[in-house]
Amino acid sequence: MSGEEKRAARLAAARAEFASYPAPPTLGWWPCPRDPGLFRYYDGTGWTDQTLGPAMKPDPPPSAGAAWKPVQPAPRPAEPEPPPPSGRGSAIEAGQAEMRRLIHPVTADDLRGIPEASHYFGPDLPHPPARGWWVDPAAPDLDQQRFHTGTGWSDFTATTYKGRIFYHRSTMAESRRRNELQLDARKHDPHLALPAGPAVWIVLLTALASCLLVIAPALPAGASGDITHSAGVALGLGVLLVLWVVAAQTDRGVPLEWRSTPMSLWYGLAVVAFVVLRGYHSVLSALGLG
Amino acid sequence: MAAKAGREVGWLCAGALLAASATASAVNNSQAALFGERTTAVVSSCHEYKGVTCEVSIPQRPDQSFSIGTIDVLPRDTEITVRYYDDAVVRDAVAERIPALAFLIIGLCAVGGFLIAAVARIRARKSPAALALAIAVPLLFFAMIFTSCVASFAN
Repeated sequence: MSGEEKRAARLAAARAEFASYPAPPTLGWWPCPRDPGLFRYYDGTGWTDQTLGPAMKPDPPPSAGAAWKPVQPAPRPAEPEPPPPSGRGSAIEAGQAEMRRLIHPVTADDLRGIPEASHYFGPDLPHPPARGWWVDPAAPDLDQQRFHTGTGWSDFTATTYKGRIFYHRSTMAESRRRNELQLDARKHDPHLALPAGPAVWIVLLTALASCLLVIAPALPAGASGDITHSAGVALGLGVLLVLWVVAAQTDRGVPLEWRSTPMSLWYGLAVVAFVVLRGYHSVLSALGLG
Repeated sequence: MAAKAGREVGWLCAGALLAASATASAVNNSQAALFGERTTAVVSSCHEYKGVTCEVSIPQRPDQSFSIGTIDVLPRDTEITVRYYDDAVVRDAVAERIPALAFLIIGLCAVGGFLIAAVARIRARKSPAALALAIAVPLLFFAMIFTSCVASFAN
């Protein structure tokens, strides 16, 4: 049962339970007709399941026929601040949820009289401004276009995805916030950053390992072919393992709430794929283990 | 900037190694078709099931028989030309060599593509080491192609 359904069930139960109690004259918080010491909300239709502990003990409900005495209950305690995101990937989910809340659907009627947006990335707004779709100045990192009426920016935005254009409504402020969220997510996107020196070595060793692996079958069967093959396998596997370790270290540097699929997983799979493609027994024998 | 270059270099190197691994792991039959030693095999028996397969023996491994695909059922003791390489025997025919050659060429193109892209990323840094790399990697790549071609034509 979803949260919405649970709330509806609680409300229905409260309605049924308090149906026999007298109704107050207007909607609002009133002393609970059943539980002295509590305020209960009357929504104009019936008593609800929302209750409030009063700052002082309320008067008991009036007897039948007597007038209701409205009360000013203690101010409802402020909603507690949502806890900061915690747990793996929570910041990513929170950002995505907020981004979804910041764009709104549009209907065909809304877009009547507005030309189609460009399938390709739109140009910048010309000077003097002209009516049309231009790069959204509020969200330069979102590949988003915004419709300019010729006198000012509208709330209509367009994004292209897989050759299709999707139209939404999003104010400049909302788009600015979406852009911030996007940049925040990008900032925490892990990348395998190799320093200049090691990167050169990695590429060089990769080229050497590839060369040995491809040349090995072309050499005459025997010791020279076997040694070349072994060297290629050992070198290739070594390079992949180094990349895997660097990826794992990079993953560990990402805050937990920004972690999604670990990058080291893909490098780990590359190591497995290498072994599978070369053949498990072939790799073992090349490494002198089988 | 360094982070961006490094990020792509990691994936490009992994891609090059996987492509090289897949190219080199061309089943033994492909290896034999391209680089195998030409020899004469003697047919001992043939049977038809989803094509014709004949059991043959070769002078290099007289104690062992090998299965090869043929077009027709061949009489016993027929001599046919085959290529032998490390426990694999295939008919010496263009039809056997073309798929193996195509596989090798595709693999070499993939490896070359990954390596060229990786070197281009590193060269963007304009360091002496990057320049040396830009010379060394193409040399290695052409050595790879040259050796493969020579070995293939030599056999």
